[in-house]
Amino acid sequence: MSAVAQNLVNALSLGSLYALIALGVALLFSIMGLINFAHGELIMIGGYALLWFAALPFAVTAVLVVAVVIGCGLAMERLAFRSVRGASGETLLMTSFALSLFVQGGALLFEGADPKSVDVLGSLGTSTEVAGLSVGRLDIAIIGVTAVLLAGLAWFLRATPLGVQMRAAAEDFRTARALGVRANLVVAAAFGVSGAFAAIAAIFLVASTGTLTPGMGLRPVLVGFVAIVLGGLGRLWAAALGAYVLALLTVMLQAYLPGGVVPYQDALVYLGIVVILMFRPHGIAGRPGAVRV
Amino acid sequence: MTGPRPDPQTPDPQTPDPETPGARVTGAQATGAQATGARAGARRSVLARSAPAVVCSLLVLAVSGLALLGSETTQRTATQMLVMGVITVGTYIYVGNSGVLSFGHVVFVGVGAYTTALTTLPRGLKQALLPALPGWLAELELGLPAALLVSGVLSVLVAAVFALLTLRLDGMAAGIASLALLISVNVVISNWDAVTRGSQGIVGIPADLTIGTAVPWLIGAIVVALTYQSSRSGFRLRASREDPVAAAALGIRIRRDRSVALVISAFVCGVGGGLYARFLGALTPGDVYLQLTLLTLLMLIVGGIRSLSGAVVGTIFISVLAELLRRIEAGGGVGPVEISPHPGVQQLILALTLLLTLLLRPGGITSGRELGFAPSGWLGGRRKGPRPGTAVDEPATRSDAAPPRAGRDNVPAAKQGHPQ
Repeated sequence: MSAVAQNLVNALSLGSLYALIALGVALLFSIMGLINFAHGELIMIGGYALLWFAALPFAVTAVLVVAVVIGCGLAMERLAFRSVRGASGETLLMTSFALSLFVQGGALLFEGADPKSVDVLGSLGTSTEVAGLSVGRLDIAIIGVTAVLLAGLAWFLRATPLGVQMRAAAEDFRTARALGVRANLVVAAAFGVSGAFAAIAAIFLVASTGTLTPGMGLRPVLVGFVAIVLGGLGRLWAAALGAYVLALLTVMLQAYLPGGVVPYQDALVYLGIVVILMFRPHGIAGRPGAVRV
Repeated sequence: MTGPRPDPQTPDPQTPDPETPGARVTGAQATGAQATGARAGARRSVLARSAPAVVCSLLVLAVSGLALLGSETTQRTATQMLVMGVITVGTYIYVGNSGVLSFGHVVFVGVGAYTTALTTLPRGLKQALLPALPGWLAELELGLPAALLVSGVLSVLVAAVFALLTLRLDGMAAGIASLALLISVNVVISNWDAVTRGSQGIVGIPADLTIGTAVPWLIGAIVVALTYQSSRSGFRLRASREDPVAAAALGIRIRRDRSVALVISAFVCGVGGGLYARFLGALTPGDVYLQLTLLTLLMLIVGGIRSLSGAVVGTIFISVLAELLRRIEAGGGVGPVEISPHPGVQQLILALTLLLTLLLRPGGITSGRELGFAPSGWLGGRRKGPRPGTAVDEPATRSDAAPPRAGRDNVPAAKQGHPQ
């Protein structure tokens, strides 16, 4: 019984991290149809920024990291994605792919290919007893911060004029523009929020793994894609749900798969995604939007 | 009838294209200039129709011939270019004709590479490396052509499974699903120690591929690609690429034609994978993963994803560029940065090339045209479509959100399709 509860706590913590990543990706997808490979590179930049500012007090470091990553996100929007806005999904996808490799190349050039290690939030490395379970303090921090951020995003999208405009743009970009929503502002805001989520995800990711490489963004961003596909393309809350489902699936597979199959766990997860897409091309909670013949 | 007409919606009653049912779909959107081109197209002889293959092959032969004069390193780079050419042309057969983005074609390359590796590894070495291999496979030792054909056939079998899983999808979902398949297959390859030796990889594959032995395979791939794209199925598939709804309304069964293209494409990619294994000599799961996927897509998009000539031109262009960059990286001391080997420069510049292509010339170098013997010049004189420079290679049906971008003066041209 307690083993099951322990696994559930692990899944909740992992799911919170996944949800941070998935929401960053889903926000851009819902507004401009962009599947942003470069989101992984924002996380990578966040990781290296942690290293650059490691000497400062943690609160200052965190603020600087978030600022740097938001700045990079806005720069990506202005320099690359604004020019292809409204192009086909494939063009957007390839643009983000190219951008992602470009940033990775830059990291290779300036930071080198060798892994670097950084100690973030080391004080949270211990565990604490909660209701008979041993829970890492870092896990508690991830779960708590994510809950606050999700609530904050919900408030932002419902209660602020900009948030309402973003929701309108996600619903129907063209109509929203016709009604006076400023496209550049809304898209820039989406990139800003997405960048902030990437920065916080980077802090927690690096705090739990401790290593930095130029290619470290790939795995998280794939997880983000899978989560939004699982939940339903274009729906924010479905993306968060998908992230928690994926985390639960991962943790349970890890715990209960027979030993010989464990190395193939990722293959099973991704194959599962393809099968889900086959039957539900718009995700579990998705709605078909395309023309049907 | 000669000047471009401003109204792309008016159907042209005089678009005679007797053997290409699909072309009529796009003919409905065509301008007068395109219709003139189509009329010329109907008169073309078999020789003229095979012109792209001939020109592409000559181009490949010319570059290979030049490389033969160079050093051993140059020759090896040229061999790699030829192998990449087979893989790129193979990917083009599906992606270019159907317009569906696939990150999964490297799966076929991987299957082909491992098949060729396992069937051409010397017997003694194979038993030492892979003691758990089933007996019949451990005994097998094929010649290169036979091994490549087996590779192609196995890739086709994998493509059948692939087709079952992904053919219902298009656009975004297809891209993600193919990526998910690539990851799944790579996880299997990385862990299947008994057959692939996992992440340690297979070593000792005879790395005897030279320019001379690789060229025929690339020319073969070009011929296969052109044969397919001038077949009925190829025309139907490209019609569905331009406008899936109209194509389906005309009775084109898109999924069937996509399957045909996928099978041919997988075969060529499988053969390319086999050549790749013989080029590398040592094969690890990382060799047939994202890096290779990127390189293939880079070549296709920079060259022009919508024409066979684009695939070939892109392969040559990127190979030459990559080689130049490699020399700059090795040279050291160039540029303001103080790191003496520049490990990221190649990736940085290649990614920038892709980025600039997407932003400034979305159709790639060829913008959907084929190379041919044209009276008004080599590059696409007889081809239809907007003038070079104003080409925005996006069919009107795909762009769903924003109005046309500012600064594009030739908006009707941007909405034209490119019937081949």
